[in-house]
Amino acid sequence: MIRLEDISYVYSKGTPFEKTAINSINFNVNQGEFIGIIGHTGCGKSTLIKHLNGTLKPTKGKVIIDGENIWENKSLLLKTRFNVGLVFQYPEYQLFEENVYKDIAFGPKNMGLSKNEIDERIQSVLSIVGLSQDILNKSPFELSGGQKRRVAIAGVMSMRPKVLVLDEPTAGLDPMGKKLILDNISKFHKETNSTIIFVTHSMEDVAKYASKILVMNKGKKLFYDFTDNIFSMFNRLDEIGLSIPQISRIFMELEKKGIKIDKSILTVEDGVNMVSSLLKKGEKI
Amino acid sequence: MIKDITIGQYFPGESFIHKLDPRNKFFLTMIYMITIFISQNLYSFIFVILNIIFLYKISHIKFIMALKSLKHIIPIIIFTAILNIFFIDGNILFSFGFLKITDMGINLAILMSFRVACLIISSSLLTYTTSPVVLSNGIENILNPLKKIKVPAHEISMMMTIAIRFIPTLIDEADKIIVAQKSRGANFETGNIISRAKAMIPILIPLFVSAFRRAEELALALECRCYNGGEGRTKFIQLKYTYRDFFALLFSLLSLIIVIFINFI
Repeated sequence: MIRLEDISYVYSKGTPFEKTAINSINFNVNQGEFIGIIGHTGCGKSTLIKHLNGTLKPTKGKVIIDGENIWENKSLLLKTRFNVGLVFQYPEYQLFEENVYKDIAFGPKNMGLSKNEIDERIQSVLSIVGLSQDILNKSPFELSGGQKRRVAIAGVMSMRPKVLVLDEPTAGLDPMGKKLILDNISKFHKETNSTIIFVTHSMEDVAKYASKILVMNKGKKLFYDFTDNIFSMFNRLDEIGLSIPQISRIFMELEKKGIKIDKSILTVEDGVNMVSSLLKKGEKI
Repeated sequence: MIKDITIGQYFPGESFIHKLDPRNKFFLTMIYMITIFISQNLYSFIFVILNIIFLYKISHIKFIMALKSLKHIIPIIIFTAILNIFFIDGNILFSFGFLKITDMGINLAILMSFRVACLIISSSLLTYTTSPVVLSNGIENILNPLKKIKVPAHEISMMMTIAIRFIPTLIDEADKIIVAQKSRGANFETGNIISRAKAMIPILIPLFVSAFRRAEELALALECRCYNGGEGRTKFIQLKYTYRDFFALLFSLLSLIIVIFINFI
């Protein structure tokens, strides 16, 4: 569905501040996938996702969406903006309308939808992000941080993009708000069967929500595969300083002690299942 | 993107020009302005341009980059040129209705465009080679004598420092907001003036909100570090004139005198 071919991007080309943010990345996304992108600060994650809806033009390489190069004609570019919804870091800073209703309606309005259609979309998106009706008449500036964030995300979801891309949607939120937002996104994924790509620092989040994972390091793709296969990469991830889930670390140590563990343990539930199956087989732990 | 505008940016370096005293650099910039404005014929302009290229050479800043940054002010240059072409008296070459083009007008239009371009390129060198902090330190120092007549020199330079410091931050922020609203389908490129002005609202409101938020945070941070104005404050960077400044001053005065002579050719 989305294919990035040999994408490179250089910031401030031709000045002393020139910097290569991403370097020959190939990346393929299929319909309905839930992908987590992980990597250090400054490894090019944000730059990479800005290519997905044509907000950045790659210095080198092609962005192909539904079989067409989006930089080949201008009308395609605008369509891409509606098909691929991008939620940036701290999206609450983009709120501007006098009330929440109008702000969420900004995207759909730009798509040229009718008032009824917009109403209907706002209702459905409200239930997805778990906000109540009476919030619609409030000013976005009087909401709490978590609520603002959810309103901003709702503003993009209401455009019903086929692909929803989120750049660190949980940055700066408390654990409660974090879980709430990720659950919202997961709900949106299930209800609309859309593709989700999200950037994060937390391996735990990726393990819990994503089906596939892209690991980036210094502007390059390091690993891109199903989350279950990431186990083989753990030593390497440790080396480049990405923290792996605590539970995985425990099982890594167990494996070193000679206990055979044949799949990735990323969540506590995985761990519980693994331990009980090992016990059944009569292993000593 | 707006990020690509390099005017007013600072490029760190260790060159001769970087090391000059900021107060001196101000005077040198002024001398160059005078030089540019009194040059009147082709030869003096060639001399001035070679002179500026030489300055860029020794400051290790790419002259091409300065030229590129000119493209953003082309409208201003064209505007001055047009004004000159139509409103200067002289021997009439063409005329349509009340508009007339004169030889003097064309002459002056070319002269003026050259002057504006040279002016911008040469004064850009000041900001290219001087960090904002040092620059406003210099300004405060120049304004110091005015403290006697109750001019708040320190406050003025502090305000300038903060303003300059926040230009890139706000540009970054504006860039982010523009991209975010574009992703929601906002359209800034087409439509008439009114609809384009309206399209700015989704950018301006968030930008204002964040500017106020930043100002508040900054005020708080300053207060937390017991900032209370310039009274009794000492400087980390002490300004000192050196032999370099003397050379630079000599060089620019010499250029000025040479241009005056060339003008007589």
